[in-house]
Amino acid sequence: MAEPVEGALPRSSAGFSWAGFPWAEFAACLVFVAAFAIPSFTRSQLIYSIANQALVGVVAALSVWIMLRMNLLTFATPAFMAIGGYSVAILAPMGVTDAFALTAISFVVPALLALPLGALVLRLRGTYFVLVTYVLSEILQLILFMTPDLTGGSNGISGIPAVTFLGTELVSNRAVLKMACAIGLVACLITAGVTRYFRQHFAAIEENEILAESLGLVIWRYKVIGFVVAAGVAGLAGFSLVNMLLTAHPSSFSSGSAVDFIAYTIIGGRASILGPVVGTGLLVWATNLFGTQGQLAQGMYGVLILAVVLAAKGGITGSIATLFRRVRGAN
Amino acid sequence: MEQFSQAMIIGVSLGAQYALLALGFTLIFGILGVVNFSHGGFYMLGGYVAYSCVYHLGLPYPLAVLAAVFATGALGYLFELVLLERVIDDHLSTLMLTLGLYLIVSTAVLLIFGPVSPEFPFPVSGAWRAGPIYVPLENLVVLAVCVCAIAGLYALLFSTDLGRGLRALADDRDVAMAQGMRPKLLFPLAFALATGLAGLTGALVTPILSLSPSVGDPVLATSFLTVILGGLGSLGGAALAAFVVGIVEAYTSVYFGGSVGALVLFILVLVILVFRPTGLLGREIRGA
Amino acid sequence: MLLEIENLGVRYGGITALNGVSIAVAEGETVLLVGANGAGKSSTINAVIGLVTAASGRITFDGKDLGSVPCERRARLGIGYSPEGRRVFPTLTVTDNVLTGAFGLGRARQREALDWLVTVFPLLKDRAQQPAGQLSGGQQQIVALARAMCAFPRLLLLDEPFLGLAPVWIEQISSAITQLKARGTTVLMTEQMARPALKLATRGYVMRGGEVRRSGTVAEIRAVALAEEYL
Ligand SMILES: Nc1ncnc2c1ncn2[C@@H]1O[C@H](COP(=O)(O)OP(=O)(O)OP(=O)(O)O)[C@@H](O)[C@H]1O
Ligand SMILES: [Mg+2]
Repeated sequence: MAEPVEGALPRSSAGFSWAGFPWAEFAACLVFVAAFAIPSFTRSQLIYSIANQALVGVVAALSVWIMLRMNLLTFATPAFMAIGGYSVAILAPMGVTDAFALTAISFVVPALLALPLGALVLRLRGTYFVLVTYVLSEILQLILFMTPDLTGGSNGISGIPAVTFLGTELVSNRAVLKMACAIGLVACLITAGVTRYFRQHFAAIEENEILAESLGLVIWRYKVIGFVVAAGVAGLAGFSLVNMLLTAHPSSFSSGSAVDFIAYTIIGGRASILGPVVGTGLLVWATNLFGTQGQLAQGMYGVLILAVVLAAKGGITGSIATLFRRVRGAN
Repeated sequence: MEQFSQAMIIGVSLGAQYALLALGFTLIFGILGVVNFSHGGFYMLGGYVAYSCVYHLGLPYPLAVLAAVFATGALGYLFELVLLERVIDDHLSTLMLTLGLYLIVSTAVLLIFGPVSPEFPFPVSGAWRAGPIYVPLENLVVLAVCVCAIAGLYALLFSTDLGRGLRALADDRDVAMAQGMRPKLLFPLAFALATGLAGLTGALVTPILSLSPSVGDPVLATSFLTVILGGLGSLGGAALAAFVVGIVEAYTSVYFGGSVGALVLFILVLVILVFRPTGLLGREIRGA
Repeated sequence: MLLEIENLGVRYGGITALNGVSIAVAEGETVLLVGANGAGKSSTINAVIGLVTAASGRITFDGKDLGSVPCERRARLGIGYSPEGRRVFPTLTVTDNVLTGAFGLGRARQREALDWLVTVFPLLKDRAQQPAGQLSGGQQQIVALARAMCAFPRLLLLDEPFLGLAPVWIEQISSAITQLKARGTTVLMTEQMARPALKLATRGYVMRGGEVRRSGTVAEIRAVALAEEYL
């Protein structure tokens, strides 16, 4: 472990091998592509609604996951979701309804805000970072309530015009769902791209930040990149949520919802990008099984979190991977 | 003038209850290095235990409060001993565990008592007047109990072997163990002490404010605020900050209304976290 | 033998810090471990108090195998410990620091110990209520020593008690150790710069590279230490 980390980074262009193929990332993106097909199989409003919730949740969970790559737990996801969502809600009535433009806006605005913010808060580590992100999302909530002229205050913004795709309005449930799939795919591609490209850096930070720094890695730069991209991805989730509800309301971005996204990611498994995808899918689906007793799902998340922390460190995907390896090893 | 003194009284009694919450929270962080996301849950649980002791078991209110303290303390003790202790050195894991516990506790309460706030009035009513000053008796009772509890906690921490052991473990775990202090014995006690204080606050305060399965959320936020302001892990800082927060909250709600005060406090906390993580008094007990 | 270390091995991850170390300390002796940086002195002391676990070998105290006794219970057997670098509890007051050394022994015995310690170290009275983190290095060493002595241990482990101290402090600490020895305490201490420690010791061991290279009387150790330039 004596050589500098920078020098140790293999440049992936040197020959192609299937072992190095990003299977997990590929599979995660496939999930989003497959989700486009849902409207061709069913007209069930319930399934549309579940799929939509899951697609919003998974994008938010991806944002949490990016930060966890660097061993940072964030509660600020709802804050950046709100920034992305409200940007859309404010601009759409002004005539900016183009799907591409809104997607870009909902990514770029929170990402730009995250740049100076990240420079400030990324000085903190561990517990202190968790606390500061919690405080950030509380502050954003308060700001939403206190700026009625811009954000509608406690009423939020409703009656947002539908998104248009190449001139056609996406008003039907099917169209809204497809839009959510598209946003999800974009978020997944961005997340996969960034975490693959910087995977050695993030791994070094996760492993031992101080060591990585002493070996010559400019930690600070990569942490800011991760934070900015995570903020942008959260903004996409906010766009997706606003697109689904056609309103932007402070309660949609409460700091408490951060707990859900963390639960999705941790329970799904934090080791690979499939973790948040699988975790969100299963948990949103299970939550809907509770029907009108939806609040009870929180208790289930609690039990699952305890189980993951105490017994199954890898979460769902991690445990399956371990099981798979064991079976293969037995043969 | 009357409004001014009224706000002061509200501020001080808010401050006293925030102090009880913050002391417990900061104790857990200072000694175990754990950020207890279930702190608000223990507050809420304290309220519900007191409520059911009064309305289902027919106990007098003071006994119900005691029962709440013991119930929340016992749950905290077991939680630390059985679950938290296994991952005590990994801050992310401890945080997730307390978060999980909070979700479970609040869901359990929701299942048992339903989402509607129960009728749970404070048993003492009336007010004490002196000229323009008017203090509801319930606030006086709460203030008195809080002050006694804070004094008791200080006595425990600063003039008993247990308190000395806890503070020594917080300072330097290895050396403290070499002096014969056993974390496995003392950590659960510290956790129980803190959660018992949260339960006490809940039992005392929820009849005055409100009781519902979701009252834990704002309590957690206030505890964060107070404890960061006072410097994570610092007991004196937490107590001082609690009164600052209580008084600021009371005055801004009287004179400005809405959430200006909260916003100012949160931004202050953000600045403190980033530039001076040791808090107002600037004393650091442990790194994170 | 009060303390018997046989074939002790200690490893930190892949690094072997101690290899087959055997040391015996009889009741009433003052035994000195000398050696350069990284010789393994602290590792030996810490293995006795239980802060590092022995990878191999055996440590017996008063005939009892310490292998199954966790660190937290060794103090109660009568082992006092003053760590390398003093490591006082910085936020605790001087008095509280000292009293942690007699944790769980009851107020009467704590009072008694404190009364005696105050006569040995007047500092403990003058600075009683000051947080120990605010003291100077020498003052902190006094506090750490008083803490280790507070329960009147049968065996006192002192890891470099004189390191970096001015002569006044060295004198005070030497005299305190002498007084405690007079009360029947056995001492195992380490030192790099062995001069003041040699005055106190009855016997010694020279360590290098995680092994015991020599053992002998104070005069012999002094000769070896001189030759190897520890003095
Ligand atoms: N916590 C640790 N982790 C890894 N290696 C360690 C640790 N503590 C000591 N070592 C190694 O073990 C060996 C013995 O160290 P030890 O501290 O026992 O020496 P020492 O004789 O006390 O030295 P000094 O005079 O510098 O205090 C050294 O090589 C050191 O690098
Ligand atoms: Mg040493």
